[in-house]
Amino acid sequence: MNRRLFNKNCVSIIGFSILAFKTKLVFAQISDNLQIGAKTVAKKIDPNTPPAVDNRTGFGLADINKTIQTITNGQNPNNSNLIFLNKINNEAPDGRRVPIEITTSLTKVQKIAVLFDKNPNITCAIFDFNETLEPYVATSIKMQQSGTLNILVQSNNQWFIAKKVVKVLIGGCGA
Amino acid sequence: MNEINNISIKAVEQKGITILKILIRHPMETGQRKDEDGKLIPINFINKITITTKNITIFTANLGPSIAKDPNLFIKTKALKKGDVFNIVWQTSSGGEKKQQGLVE
Repeated sequence: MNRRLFNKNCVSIIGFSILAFKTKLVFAQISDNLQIGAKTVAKKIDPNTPPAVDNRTGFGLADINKTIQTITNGQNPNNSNLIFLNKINNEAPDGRRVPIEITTSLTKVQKIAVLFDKNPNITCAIFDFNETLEPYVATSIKMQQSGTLNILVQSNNQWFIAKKVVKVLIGGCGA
Repeated sequence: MNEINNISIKAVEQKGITILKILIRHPMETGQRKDEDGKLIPINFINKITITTKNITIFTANLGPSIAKDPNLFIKTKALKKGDVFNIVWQTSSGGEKKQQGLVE
């Protein structure tokens, strides 16, 4: 055999095998990344999942108007400008934790309910107040997407409502 | 932070009004999140917090899963004075119950 041809063939075979090995490694990495990607996708919530069943009054209902009617026991709440929503801006940077602070100059506050219409679980909380409590409550809620925050206040057996539209930049997981 | 109950309570009286701050470490699972294997994480959240003093319930919070993870709660009351003792009881949707006593500073 020609010596030059033999050398040429040798080099090309070795070169090709190195290339093939590297490509294999790269493919392995890509498939690994793909698997990790699939796992992260699986972590996200499925919007079609129905809300969990909650038997308490005012909880676990799928419609905001129905929820309001149930909590107020059929009474239509009046709009009130005496309910103050402090700390709540028009934009919520992180829907996983939105701080809210509610105060009111309404007297004899018995109940305060916090509802967010775009959450799978609309009713965030219902607070029962004793007469020794100041009409003030602060907590943090989840917001899955932009929507309207509804605050219901029962004062002197009358129901009042205040609303605030909040734009959510990052949705809270499965609120 | 109380290590066993994972609760942190602070109650301070100022000019006759006590500000009560509660922070409980809890995942507040909504039952809609999935884990790495795509299985649903079971629903588990704090659904009730009750504050009592001298056998009188002064405040009840009925919570839903829409409350943020590690829920915090701030209230103001005239019922508690400096040196008063109060009890906080919280229940979870999975049937658990925990208690913690607090002291007004």
